[in-house]
Amino acid sequence: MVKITILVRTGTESAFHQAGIVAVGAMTVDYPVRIFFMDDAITALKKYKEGKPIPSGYSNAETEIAFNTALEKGKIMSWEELILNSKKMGNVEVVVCALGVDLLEIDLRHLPSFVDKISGAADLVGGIKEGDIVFTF
Amino acid sequence: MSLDDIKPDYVADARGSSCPGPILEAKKSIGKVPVGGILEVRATDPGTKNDLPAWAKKMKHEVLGIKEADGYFSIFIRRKK
Repeated sequence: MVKITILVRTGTESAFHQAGIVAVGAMTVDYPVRIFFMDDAITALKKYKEGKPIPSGYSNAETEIAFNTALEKGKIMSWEELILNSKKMGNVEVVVCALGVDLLEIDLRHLPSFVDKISGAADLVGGIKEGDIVFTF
Repeated sequence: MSLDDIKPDYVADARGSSCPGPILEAKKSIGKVPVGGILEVRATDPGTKNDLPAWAKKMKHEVLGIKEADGYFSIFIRRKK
């Protein structure tokens, strides 16, 4: 069985959306997925939980407009919907880096409910070793 | 059997949805079809014509064909397991 590891370091909607697409794609072919949020991505998750905006991450305004229009029309799913759907229908685990959480002085309560656990570097490296394919965003 | 003669067991409507919406819809819907039954996925996203057959092949289902309709297309998949 192919295992997919997704490392998300960039704290933007764009990075989260790409991670969500990969997670859904992997889930549809029954591949287990582990999404590991670290560094700046944790701050973005915290802000999202607080209802604050997170950076879009698009360097081209044209891309951002096209993305937002498609989102408003319901043509595409938000990054959160993608992650929630992949978790609901497949074997998808969401992990947040322990160091990042420690630096921000937060815990699971400050993060979206789709986060399964907080774990450290050894677990991260183990996950990468077990992953047959690793994506980074 | 002609595609026009197919009577699907379930129709999944993914029209207007971009990738990975149609594939997600197919994944959700295939369980509503009995093994041996036929799922019809309606879509408008052009990439789906490649993506959905690739998914079906990976999942060991059979693609019966793609039928063009007015403003959309239908992909017929026979559930094999």
